[in-house]
Amino acid sequence: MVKTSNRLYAWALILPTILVLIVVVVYPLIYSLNVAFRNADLRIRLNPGEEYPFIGLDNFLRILDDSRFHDALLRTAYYVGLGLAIQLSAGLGVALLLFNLTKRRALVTALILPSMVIPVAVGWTGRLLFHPTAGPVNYILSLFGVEGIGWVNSAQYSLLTLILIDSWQWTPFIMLISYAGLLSLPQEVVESAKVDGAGGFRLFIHIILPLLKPVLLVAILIRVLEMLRAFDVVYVLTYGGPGTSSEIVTFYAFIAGFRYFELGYSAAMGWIIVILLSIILTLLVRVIRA
Amino acid sequence: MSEKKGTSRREFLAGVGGAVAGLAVGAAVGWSLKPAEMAPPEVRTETVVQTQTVTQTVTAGPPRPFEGVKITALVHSGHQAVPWKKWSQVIKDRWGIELEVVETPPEDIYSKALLGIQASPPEYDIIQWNSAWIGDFEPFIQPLDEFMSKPGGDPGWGDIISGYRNFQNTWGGKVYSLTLDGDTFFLYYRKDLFDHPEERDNFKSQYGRELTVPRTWEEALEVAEFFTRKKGEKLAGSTLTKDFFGIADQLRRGRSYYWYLFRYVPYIAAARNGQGDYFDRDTMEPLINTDAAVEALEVLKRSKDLAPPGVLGFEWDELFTAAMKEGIIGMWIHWPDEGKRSDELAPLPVENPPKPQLGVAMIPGVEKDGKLYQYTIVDAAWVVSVVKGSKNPEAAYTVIKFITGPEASLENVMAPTDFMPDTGHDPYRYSHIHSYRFRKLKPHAVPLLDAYAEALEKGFPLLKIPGAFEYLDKLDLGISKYLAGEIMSAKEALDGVAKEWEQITDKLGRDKQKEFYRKMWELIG
Repeated sequence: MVKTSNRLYAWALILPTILVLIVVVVYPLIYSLNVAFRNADLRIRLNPGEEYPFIGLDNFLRILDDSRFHDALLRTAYYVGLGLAIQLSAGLGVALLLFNLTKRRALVTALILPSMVIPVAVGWTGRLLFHPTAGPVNYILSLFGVEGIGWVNSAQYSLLTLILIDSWQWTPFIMLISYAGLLSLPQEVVESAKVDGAGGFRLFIHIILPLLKPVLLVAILIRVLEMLRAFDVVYVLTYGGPGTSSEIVTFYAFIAGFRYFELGYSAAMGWIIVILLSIILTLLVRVIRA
Repeated sequence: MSEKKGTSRREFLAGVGGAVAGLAVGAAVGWSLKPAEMAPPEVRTETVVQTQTVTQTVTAGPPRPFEGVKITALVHSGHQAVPWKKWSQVIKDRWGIELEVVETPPEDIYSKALLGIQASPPEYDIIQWNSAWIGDFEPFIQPLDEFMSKPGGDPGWGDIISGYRNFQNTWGGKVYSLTLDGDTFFLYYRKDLFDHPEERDNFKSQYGRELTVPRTWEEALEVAEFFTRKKGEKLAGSTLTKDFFGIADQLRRGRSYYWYLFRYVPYIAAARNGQGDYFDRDTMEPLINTDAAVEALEVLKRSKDLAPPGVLGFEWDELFTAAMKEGIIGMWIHWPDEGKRSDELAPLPVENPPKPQLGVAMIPGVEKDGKLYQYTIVDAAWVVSVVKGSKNPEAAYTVIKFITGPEASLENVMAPTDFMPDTGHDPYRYSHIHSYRFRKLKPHAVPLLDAYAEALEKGFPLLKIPGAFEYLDKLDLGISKYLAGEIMSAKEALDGVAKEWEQITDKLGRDKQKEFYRKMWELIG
């Protein structure tokens, strides 16, 4: 009897959360899946009572044929891959430097400031920083004899500019996580390695890095998730251009849904992104568990 | 038990509506819990005094015919919502109408308005919307012809500049909206530079003709080339402290198509004996990859080569800053903002600059067989309509007739003034551009006002059939790829655009699109 009332009490406690999750998470997911299987185009005029036609897998098959989507996917892979490499190496490097400093508290606080800035503001800041004639980046480069890089205005550099700006904002995040990881390392293992004669580089490669691996993998997981969903900075900074040179997959999905009003097709793209994310997450989680 | 097999538009939009309603409830709860000290500040005494002045002028009318009637208007949030709020008391005093203003950001107006006007009864009596959406909104908004024909119902139709009357308000030979914001484009040029005697002499000796404001694109390219100079060279008799560029366009991906259309329209019109078009009206085949279209794109490319190095990233702010704040551009095409703010023009970037002076003119055209084909794109900007199914259509019409009418709209388009804060509205009536008060209050805007009538008499509509966004975005993408060097030839870029346009037309129904396109050109009388 006591057990039953306890169980009921437990259900009563978690029921509101479950209901909220159903309304906020489950229903929109199912709804968007439903839309992905329909020719849901806001521009098609329906008669009263008429429904958006069910078209099965057509939207998904169209994606297979859509070279603009494929190009956007490749750009996204480049954006995530290069961005992650920069952020990991710089973040870890700064964390190691901080770890070896004695007075570091104020510095840590100052360094994490960029990750607190809202993405739209980051986009606008980027527009000013990388302005080809009036921006400070080109001014500094000109002091070293490098002239006239177009940055966001050139098809060659626009995606790289987005990566640099993302790295400016999120390297501190990797730095913070790595720094926390370094602080929690078992010091006896590190000290033993030192006693055994391990020098700086070997200590880092064979002791510190393996010990930090779980922490770094979590950081990678979070960043991959965030970078695959990047949108705001692209919208403000390049609008995917010039041409399609900085159009990543989320931005293309936005254009399809909210500029062409092909909500079914846009939802299908969203689901492809979700599937890709799920695969990457599963792999990363397996690595972390291992 | 019937199984639900699909999602109707209404159900679909209702889903979105649910989310909006959820947010609204949240906002309402938040508002109700808001501490008293957070209440909005009271209106300043100065404003109140001036509002009373206007109220006195308007309360002398007939008894209030719509006492107690509530009208709900969905409007563009922020500065565009200002006049609606500002005039609501006058509307109540004069007609007894309680005006409820629902604000929404511009990017949400399309979906929110479409959701609201399809409901039964509709959620709004009035909507502010972009006239480019007429193909989608037509079934849900009231033609205004009947209201306008009644005694006292004319909204000052003849006073609206013809470009707006024809290409924003009229659709299929009927009036569906009234203009709220007269957006259009002008050629701005450095008058201080064009008038400089040394520059005039040099130009004449170099090109064998007088230095004049360009009437054609070929002339414009010549002038742009002449004025493009490096830092350290002479300009207006003095040494340049920065690089100077003859021309600049707003070529960032997203809206660069406008700057192409400024070239395309006169070129296609000249090639077709004055009949500028986006499509062949009989077949709906695109004209966007014809020889004239290709030539126009090549002209845009030549202009780009005379512009600042970052011009492919220029949006509104960048062009405005380069031209007005840095003073490094000789000629550029933009909305009326610069004309209204010509007193902010920076001096030329030379050691001893002349007094800055901004010139306003019509966008260049094309001369063929002695005839000049010159047009002004009428931007598909903000208009207002009465929603079909409104319980009080007469009252709703009364509100839009007043807000867009000569009396209130003059204050709206002159803003910012002591009476009216910034509204973002641009002139759209003959009475605005000839207004004694406007010219007296804002003398720096006089060249712009002078240019308005001429420019808008030669108006050309922006594409406004269903799918207009997609057609224009695909055009934008093609242009951007060509200018960025992703596609090497203008012909190849525009062939790609034409192919995309055909696909959109087929997707939305060729016959339906043809009918909509015909309606776009069908004018009153």
